[in-house]
Amino acid sequence: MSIGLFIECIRLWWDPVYSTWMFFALFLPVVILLYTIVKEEKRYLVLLFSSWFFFISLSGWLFIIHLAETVFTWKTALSIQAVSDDQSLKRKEKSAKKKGVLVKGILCLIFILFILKYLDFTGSGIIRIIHLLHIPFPEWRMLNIIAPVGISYFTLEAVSYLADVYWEKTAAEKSYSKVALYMGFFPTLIEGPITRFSDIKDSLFKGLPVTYDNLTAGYQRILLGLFKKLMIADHLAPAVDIVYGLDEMKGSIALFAAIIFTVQEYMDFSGSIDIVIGAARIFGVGLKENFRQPFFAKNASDFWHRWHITLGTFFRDYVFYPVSVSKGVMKLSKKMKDRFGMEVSRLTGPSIAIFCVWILNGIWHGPKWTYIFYGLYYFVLIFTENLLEKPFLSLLSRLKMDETSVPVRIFRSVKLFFIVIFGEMFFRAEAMSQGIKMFTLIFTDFDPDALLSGLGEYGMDYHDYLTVIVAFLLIMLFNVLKEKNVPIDRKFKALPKPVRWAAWYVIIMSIVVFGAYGSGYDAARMIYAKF
Amino acid sequence: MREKILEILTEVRPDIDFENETELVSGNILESFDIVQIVAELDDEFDIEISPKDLTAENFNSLDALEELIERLSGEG
Repeated sequence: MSIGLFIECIRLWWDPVYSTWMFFALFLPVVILLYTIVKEEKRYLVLLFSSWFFFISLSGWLFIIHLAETVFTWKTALSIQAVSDDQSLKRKEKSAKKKGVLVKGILCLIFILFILKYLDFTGSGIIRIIHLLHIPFPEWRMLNIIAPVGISYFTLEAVSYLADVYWEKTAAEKSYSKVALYMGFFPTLIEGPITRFSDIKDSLFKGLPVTYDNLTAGYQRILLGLFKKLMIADHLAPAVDIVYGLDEMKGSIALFAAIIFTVQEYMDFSGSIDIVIGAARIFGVGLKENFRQPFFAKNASDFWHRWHITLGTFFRDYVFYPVSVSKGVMKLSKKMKDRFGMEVSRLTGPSIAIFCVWILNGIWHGPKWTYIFYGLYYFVLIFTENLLEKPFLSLLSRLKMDETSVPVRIFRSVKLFFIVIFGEMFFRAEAMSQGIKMFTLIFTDFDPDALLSGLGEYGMDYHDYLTVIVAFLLIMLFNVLKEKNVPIDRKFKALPKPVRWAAWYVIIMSIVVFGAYGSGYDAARMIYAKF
Repeated sequence: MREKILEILTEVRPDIDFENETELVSGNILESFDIVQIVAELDDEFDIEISPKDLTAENFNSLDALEELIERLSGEG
């Protein structure tokens, strides 16, 4: 049998996406078994080969691109390290040479990502502009290139690794297998969280034994993720598709669509991340949290400190800070200080940097105008918040109120609710025109009756709505306790054994009985897997 | 030096007790906007160059850590 046929057979038969039983009930146990029987110092190789198998089963031959990128990243990091260690070079010379290797390395990685994900978008966009200028030019022939799974995630991991070696925050790893495992570790491959080499290397390469504590805690976290995904996100998925697919709708339906999509996306993404963190925990690998009760945020900026945290911290450390403190931006800030004073100067650097962050954040999500709009939307909001924060606080003190007073908290919660909902409305829209139409309808033709009379037509019956509402309230209660720093884990462990087991049975049975399976549902689909 | 750093920090964020706080970054007390403003002022005042490499929680978590960073960078220059 040829290798190609073998790969195709694996792909047809095997579907190990995180929320399918194949992943947590078959793939994961087999990896745990192999990992346990192999010698400690070779265990990372079990994780590497399992990750490659996982990758091939999802992306087939596109695995070659991943392989090439891991080799390239490994070699480039070693080159940067070699310059750092070269004692014969003078400081300035060393610094320039190191920067050259880093910039070339990052540009190559971005170039590959660009070709695979953005070429059609950019090409057709340029040709559209040429046509707008009435210059005759042939149409762009769509190439429809398919990118390997997780490329947006492992590219960022490679960039952060090269930058950290350049900044001497970590030493370049000599072993290729270890760099390849860092960039391809199967739990984090599809949806992150985006890891840093220095954070993960010790636990990932050590081959720590699978302990009872890690195994149970890991599978409990996986259960929590399955609960979020199968009880809420996957129940809402068909309704979101139907409502967004309507040709005609009223404002109330548009608002409903945005709300259920926001809930679906949060439960889908944070649920998948729970599964990922749980799976990694089994092998003693502690991953960074990617969500921290985002709906309890006080403003848009705080929301992004709690939502997709590892993407936010990536952009903060590798875009925001480098741009803000770059020589050019610093010089400009000084000029602004001389000309317009301290206040303007203070905002100059961060504003330029935050614009770069949000445009890149939008583009990173994919080649669509709605994503670019989404990035710019948050840029405007966060910039305005920073501008208005001081006047707002002085207004509060004049009104003899502070940030903790109830009216202020209610105002902030309502404001954040609409900020997030409107952002997600555009994020999910097929095109900008659909987003604009839905947004306008909310203010021009709301008609609440249209929503109430149509609730049965969105692919969800009474039981589906009830399941989603009860499960959602339970997760929100869990989030309230976490926000209040209640030690849920400790309290749960202190309960008598029969009560704990009963609780787990209830959760497992609820997922089995009420989870979204069967025709019309697609448990394998994960929203953030496409980015 | 310490007094000058404290003056700069207080100018950027008058609401923080910089003398006693030891988790300015890891406790999410200082925002990234604040850090950039502090860097610009410190660069100017002490004629140093704080690079992205130095923008870590360990260097910005307390007044002591910042003082240490500036002393180190002044020595390098």
